[in-house]
Amino acid sequence: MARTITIDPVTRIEGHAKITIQLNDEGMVEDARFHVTQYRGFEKLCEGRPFSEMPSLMARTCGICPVSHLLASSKACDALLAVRVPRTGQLLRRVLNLGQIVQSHALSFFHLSSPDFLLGMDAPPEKRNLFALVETHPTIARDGIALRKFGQQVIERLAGKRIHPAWCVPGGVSDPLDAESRDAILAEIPHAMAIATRTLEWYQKTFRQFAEEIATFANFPSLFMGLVDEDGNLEFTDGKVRVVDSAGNIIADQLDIADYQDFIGEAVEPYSYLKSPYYKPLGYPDGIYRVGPLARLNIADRCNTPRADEAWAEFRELDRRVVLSSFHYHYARLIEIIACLEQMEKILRDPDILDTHVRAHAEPNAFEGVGVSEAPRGMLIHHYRIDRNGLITWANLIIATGHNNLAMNRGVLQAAKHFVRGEKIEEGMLNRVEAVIRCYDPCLSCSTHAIGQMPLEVELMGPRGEILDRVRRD
Amino acid sequence: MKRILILGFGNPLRGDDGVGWYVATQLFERTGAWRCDVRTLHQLVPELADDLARYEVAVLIDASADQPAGSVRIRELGAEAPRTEEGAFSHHVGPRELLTLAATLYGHTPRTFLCTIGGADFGFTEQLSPSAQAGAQQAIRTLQALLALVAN
Repeated sequence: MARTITIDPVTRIEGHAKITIQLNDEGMVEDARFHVTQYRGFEKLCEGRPFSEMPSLMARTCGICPVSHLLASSKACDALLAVRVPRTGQLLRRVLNLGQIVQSHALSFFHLSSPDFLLGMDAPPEKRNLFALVETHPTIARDGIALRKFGQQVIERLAGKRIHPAWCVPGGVSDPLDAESRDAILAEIPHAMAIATRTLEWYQKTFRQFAEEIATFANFPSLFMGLVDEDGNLEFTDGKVRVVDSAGNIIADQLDIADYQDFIGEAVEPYSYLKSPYYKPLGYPDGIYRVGPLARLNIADRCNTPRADEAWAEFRELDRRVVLSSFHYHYARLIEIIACLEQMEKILRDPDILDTHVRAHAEPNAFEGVGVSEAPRGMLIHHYRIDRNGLITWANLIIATGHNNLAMNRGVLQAAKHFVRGEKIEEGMLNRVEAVIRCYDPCLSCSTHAIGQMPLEVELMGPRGEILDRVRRD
Repeated sequence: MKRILILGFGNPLRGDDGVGWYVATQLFERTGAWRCDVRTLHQLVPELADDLARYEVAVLIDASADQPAGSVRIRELGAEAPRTEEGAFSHHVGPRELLTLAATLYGHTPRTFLCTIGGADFGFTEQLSPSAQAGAQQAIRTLQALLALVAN
């Protein structure tokens, strides 16, 4: 008899979601889906608001990556103003974004995912959480806290507060950087770099023990999409769009984000509130692509900073063309932290970084604007239309997690087919299906989920929806 | 003179949930020459463990939806076994978990008091309800007296 296994909620991600696994009459996995069960509606609630409010309003989309929304929104507003942001304003926005990526990657790697690596995928939740990690691996736990704190302090020093800062504005940033803040950040970079370096070295020695997970955690051909600079280097804040196929071929390059609707389609599935974007030239769902750390390292020709380039070259040796396993998102995050720290130091030593001309002022000069930045989890697009009074008439957001939606679904199915066996539901089996999603570090909202404390409910359902069995973990 | 950290947390855009911020800032202004620092934030985060371990006394101030509106509860948090009632975090922790992190990772916890004030209205407003306001005033007076006792 066909059955459905439901994992609800998925834990240690940002937001509300569940996974269902459909078994066939033989008890084998037939289908699996990742459902986003929460609805936010930010595109609708901002209609009628002045465009100048958008950066602050959109930053409220999330408590983990408000800076990413702030940046993408400000850049969409730059397009409405049709202004060129002063160079120092651009540089300061970059530093803000780099700090954001460092703190977010540290949260994902150390707090959310390292319990899986260090305490075992088969360990019960009460023994596979950060408190257990604190007891068994205090140095790792301290490093995670220190690195996240570093990134948060960069944001605070630039923008005045860690969560929902309003410093990034249409036309640039509201205030210049002072020498004291610059020097304080520069003084902390060596410590952050030491943490990032030793963590990467440790991870490079240990990740191969997860060969089965590497082989089965969303390890499939897909496109990869993200931003690169004009020379093809790793890019987090500006740049143009590049698309690479699973053989490593660049199939589109230097695409202007203003034209995103020409190459990105947005499908909607009835089982999820999360959109399913796809690469338009290949259609739906063949146009499946991935964004985020793994994609960025796959599409770039180099990182363009020495330490990150060294690590990147070793990373790319994992596969002959591009790295396909989503398990390597974790690895990619560590390399990106190093790249961010190197880029940050370089920018902060720029002679113009303390310049006070950081914002361009103008009235709206266009009725439509698109902004893009690389959020920690991948490319983030904000698209606004305004009326003659500067009020928002229409908005569209494509967040990184949305870009990855098709890939997450396919990854869940792949892992479920490999790890889920018939009628017996084991903890480690479900942990791995969940952990596939965690590779992508999906950010569904600013909601917080807990480890162990949050219930994990597994339901076996008959073909008419009747519950045949239920396993609950409190 | 001991170093004191005053931490007010909650969401000031949600009415009485912001009472921790209000009490923390008001209390800080009345601490005079004491070696006091104040922080206001939406939630307790793991990074605070490092900060907390640098102080001798800490006061954590939060709103409560569970206790009667306007009521004030102050209790000292002792060194206890790790607890995960607020969730073994993704990006936030509870007061006891924060203390556990400070003790385990940094080898020191300050003498810590948790002050909770019952709220009545957690809707979309930046104003405190009259009962939360009354509770806030009582909390400020009591905490001021408490700090006078433990600061030296």
